[in-house]
Amino acid sequence: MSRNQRAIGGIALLAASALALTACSGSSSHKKIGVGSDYAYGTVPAASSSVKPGGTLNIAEDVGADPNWIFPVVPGANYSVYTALQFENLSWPQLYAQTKGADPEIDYSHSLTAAAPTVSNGGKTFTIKLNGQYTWPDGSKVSANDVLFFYYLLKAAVKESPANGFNYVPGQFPDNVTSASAVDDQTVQFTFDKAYNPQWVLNSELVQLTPIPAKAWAKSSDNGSTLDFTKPDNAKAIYDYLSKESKNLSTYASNPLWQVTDGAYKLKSYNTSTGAASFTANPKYTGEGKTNIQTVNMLSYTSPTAEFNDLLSGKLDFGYVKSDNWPQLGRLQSKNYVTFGEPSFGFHYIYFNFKDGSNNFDKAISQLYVRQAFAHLQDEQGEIKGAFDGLGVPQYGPVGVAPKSPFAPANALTNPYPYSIDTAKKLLSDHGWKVVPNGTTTCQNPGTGATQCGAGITKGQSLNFVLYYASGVKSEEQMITAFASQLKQVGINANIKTDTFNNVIQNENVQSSPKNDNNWGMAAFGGETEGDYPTNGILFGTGASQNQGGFADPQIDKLSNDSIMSSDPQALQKELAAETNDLPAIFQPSEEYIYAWNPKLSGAKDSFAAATQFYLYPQDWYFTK
Amino acid sequence: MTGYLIRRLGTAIIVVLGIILVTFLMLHIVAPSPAQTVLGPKATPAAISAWNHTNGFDRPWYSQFGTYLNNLLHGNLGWSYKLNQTVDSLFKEKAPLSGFLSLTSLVVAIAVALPLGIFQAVKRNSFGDVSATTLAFVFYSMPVFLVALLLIQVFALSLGWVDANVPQDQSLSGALAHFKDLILPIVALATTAVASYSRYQRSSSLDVLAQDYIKVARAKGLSERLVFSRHLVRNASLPMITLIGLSLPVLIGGNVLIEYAFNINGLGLMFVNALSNDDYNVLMAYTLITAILTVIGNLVADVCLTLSDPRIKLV
Amino acid sequence: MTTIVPPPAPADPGATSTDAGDIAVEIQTGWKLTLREFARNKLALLGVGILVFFVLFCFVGPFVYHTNQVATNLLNTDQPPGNGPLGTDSNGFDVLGRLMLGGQTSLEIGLLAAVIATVIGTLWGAVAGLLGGLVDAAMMRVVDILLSLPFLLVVLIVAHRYGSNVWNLSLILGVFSWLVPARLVRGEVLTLRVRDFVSAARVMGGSRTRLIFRHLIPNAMGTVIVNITFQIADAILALAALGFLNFGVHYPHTDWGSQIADAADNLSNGYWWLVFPVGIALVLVVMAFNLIGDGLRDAVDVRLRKR
Repeated sequence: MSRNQRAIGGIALLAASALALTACSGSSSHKKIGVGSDYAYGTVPAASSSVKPGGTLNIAEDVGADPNWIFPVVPGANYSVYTALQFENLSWPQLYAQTKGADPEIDYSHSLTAAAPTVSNGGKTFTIKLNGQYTWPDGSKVSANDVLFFYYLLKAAVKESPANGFNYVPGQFPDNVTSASAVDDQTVQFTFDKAYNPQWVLNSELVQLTPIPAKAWAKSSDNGSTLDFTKPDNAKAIYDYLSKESKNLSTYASNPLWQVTDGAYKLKSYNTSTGAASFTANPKYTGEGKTNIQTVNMLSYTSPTAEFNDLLSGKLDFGYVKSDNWPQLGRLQSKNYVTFGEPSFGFHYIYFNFKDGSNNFDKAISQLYVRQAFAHLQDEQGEIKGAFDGLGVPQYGPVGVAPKSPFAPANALTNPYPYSIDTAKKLLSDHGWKVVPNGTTTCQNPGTGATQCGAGITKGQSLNFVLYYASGVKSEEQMITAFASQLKQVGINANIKTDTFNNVIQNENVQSSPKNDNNWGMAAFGGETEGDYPTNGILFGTGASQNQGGFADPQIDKLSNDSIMSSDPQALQKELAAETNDLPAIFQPSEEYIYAWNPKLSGAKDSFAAATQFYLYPQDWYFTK
Repeated sequence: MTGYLIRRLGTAIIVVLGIILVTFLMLHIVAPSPAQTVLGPKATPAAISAWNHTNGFDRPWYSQFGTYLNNLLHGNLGWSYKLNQTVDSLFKEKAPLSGFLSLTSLVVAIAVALPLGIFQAVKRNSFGDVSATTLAFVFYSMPVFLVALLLIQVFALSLGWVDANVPQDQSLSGALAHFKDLILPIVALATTAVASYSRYQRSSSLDVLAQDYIKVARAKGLSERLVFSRHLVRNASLPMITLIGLSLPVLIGGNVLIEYAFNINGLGLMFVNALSNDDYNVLMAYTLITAILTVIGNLVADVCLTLSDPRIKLV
Repeated sequence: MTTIVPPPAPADPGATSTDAGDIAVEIQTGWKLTLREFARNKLALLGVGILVFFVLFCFVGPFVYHTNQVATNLLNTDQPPGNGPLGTDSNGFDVLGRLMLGGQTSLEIGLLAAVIATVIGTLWGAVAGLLGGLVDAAMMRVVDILLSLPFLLVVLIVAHRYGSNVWNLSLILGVFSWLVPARLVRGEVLTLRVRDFVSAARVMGGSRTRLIFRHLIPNAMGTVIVNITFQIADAILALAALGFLNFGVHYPHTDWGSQIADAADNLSNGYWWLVFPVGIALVLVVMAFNLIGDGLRDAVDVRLRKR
């Protein structure tokens, strides 16, 4: 049985530009397991050569994240990584596959295009050439028109309501596209209003595209005639029709619309009550991989333990192992099940409130040395052992040590602020604080000199503050309380309070709830899952819409602006390095996402590693003889 | 008689209307708008107020209540944004399994508690009576989820006779195919019910045994068997009707805990998940339906009681 | 189960009340009688014993048995008994110490909620009963309506939004459980109203306030006191249910239900010591209140009977 935020569904991935929220899931204990030097748990065995064609693959759907939206333009309320990547992606693969194995970079072998787009027109125009490898059931190739179709529908959708695009950020894609056109059947061109960083355009904007069948879907009723979707009125009518059909769950398997696929599998049955689904191999599939496996059943579960029991009994061929069941991983291994895990790309953090005027806490944490002292007081290794059973990896900034991002700065890989109570003490006492371990540390030497507390900090002021976190996730509670007890060792008293996940996001937020500014000093709701281009302007930019703690630093603003606007290929590294150093938040370790599968299931190594980033490629898998 | 029924029905209707108003107001205060659910927790205040305006959530409460009432009259319980389905269809999908659990455990509980209570009264202060009373007292003080955990520990984990989770193919027919795994949830629900029912049954049987007509019947030389079947069982079981009517919300509340403990994909688990998801249309519908069932249960119990108890005179 | 307070089980036959005579004297001797009767009830005394034990255990225990219930110990989690008398939990807290802390919350909330419910219920019931007529009918319809709402569901909805600390949870539980005491007190008032002594007081020109405070409330006290003990038991159970569904109090506080919820996840890993000690404590305390309540009710009945 398990609880941990199960209804939230664990995670909401930010596939492309915007950041989405994740709630890390819980943990229990037992200390004999751990990760390897590459920070992965276990290894994926080499692909076997004895292929046995056919068979049925039983996979587990994530608890509380049963897919309930089939149309690839997904509204925020229905979006989850599971819906997008494990349900829709089987039938309508994204233009760009956003994970290469477990690593956050585009995997062109699973994409519908062979290489990055060419940039012209002073950096404003991006030309995408399709690889012509994927086809619709009538034999026609996936075309430039199908890409444009998606773009126009997305545009109509977010115009109707911003809530209709899970990933929509006003002013960004598709708003910033000034023209979109098909150069020829296989080439599509997007022109943007400005010259942006080409890496950002590709990894945050263009990755949102999923080709969908224009010929079959460009209509506004079941038997309607084909409409010109480039006309806004038509696009709206088509969008309304398709999203209405997507709200009709009981027709998912029978609606002929959803059978027009270019992906490896198409829906055969769908259970409206549980969200369980069954896919059958697309006989006309021409894309990457080979549909050796005939049927893919996605079973629905109400608890990770129920799912784990089915793994143990052999009913499932492929499934996750959540932290509640980590102490029993050995039982799976003794049945020769393969176990493998990596963290998902993103980070967990406790953010500072730079507007907390109570007790002058805002003045204190505006001093970098104070934030550094806080960072030195976080024992990441201890937290990994205690909260994640050793199945976690350290994280020092927005990009962690694993999975490996090509944009990771050097200081993401070694801890710039290693755990040391003495260093923290020294930082404070060097700046005029009287450190009283297990008591209350106070400022004795106010002023702005090098050895003084800093601007606005008054004599006798303490560093005590209120720390909020989202309840219900055991590992988060463990890490927060561990952090608080380390703080106490240098006389900083964190008054810990809890609230629900949604309430922390809404109330401990200087953007949405300025009336609470003086009620909290730090807060944690979980974390953010990032896209392949992890720029964080929206989180840490001055006044940015998701800057919950009101962090403001002109240098970070400039660097994160550069990540989007400048053509410097190093821009993002520079931004990430600065964020790691400047500590707009205390970054927390990340847990492994662990999967287990039948020893008779084999396939390319990367296709299994990709599952840790929620991408499923059953077309790369097969049963062995 | 007819007069009584009409009055009783009239009160019930007033109560139902009150329930609808109270439920609506409560959720209106707790969650004035589903905007945050639809737009996501990080939606800006501007986006939220725009959404509220488009969808009519900025109107005064009585106007929204009017819409809600109108929808209810048309059998429309609203839309679950999170689950992308109408609440009606969610209930249709999940009610059979939950209903099956509730009813089966109710039937089991009555089948055990009635004879047990009568037995205890007849053999008052015997060893059997005392042990049954003690057990009933312990289970009466035990929350239903603890009974569930105890059963899981003993029968699923230690003995391994059944599974700790019901089969995850959770249509009613799918679950029935593995009926063995439904035994624990039913037993857990029934145990707590038996604990309270048998206490009442015992007391009311004692009451009846002390009544004059039993003494008269005995004095008339009626065999114990006849006294027992004709008078005791019938009269002593009457109060149970009220109790069973009253226990509908208990059963449904118990379902929430039991479905959560055993991971049963029924209405109760849906309610708990809806809480975490802030899926207020589901919460509202479930509360409302349970409340109305309670009113109906009480009404039916009252009517049954008046029809079957010769001592109750209706004016 | 926790969702509704069933009507109190009928007492053993024979308990019928007769009219009162000179009440001033009667009340006094009546209470003495009640106490004496209560003291004769072995089960009720057992209940008192258990309760006293747990109050001492929870509130005095931490002064004798020192544990750190604030700083987590992540390298010492989920240790079986032996490592501390009852082992450690998933934060590395000593389970025995945790039990004391959780018991404090559970007892405090139980008591507070019961007091809140009783105060509201007594006033509501007394006013309705005394005023009678349309006011009474309207007030009792309100009670009917609220009583039909599923208690656990309503409390969950409100607690999800406003819960998670001792005061709010007590308030929520209290505000939604005054209905049974209201009905009981109203019933009591209606019976008392027609009794001789109240009519006598009225005839003699006693003021309404005096009537309420001198006559009605003292007479209804018996029922109220019996009810409050059951109310506490129910509030503790309801809190446990909230905690089990993860809507109880949060770190650094804890309650018994939340402790069980944390541990229930781990039952299949074999961490039984996280579930059953708490469970036993919970059952014992609830049982103690039920025993005391039963004892009190019988004793009060005796007072009424002998009067």
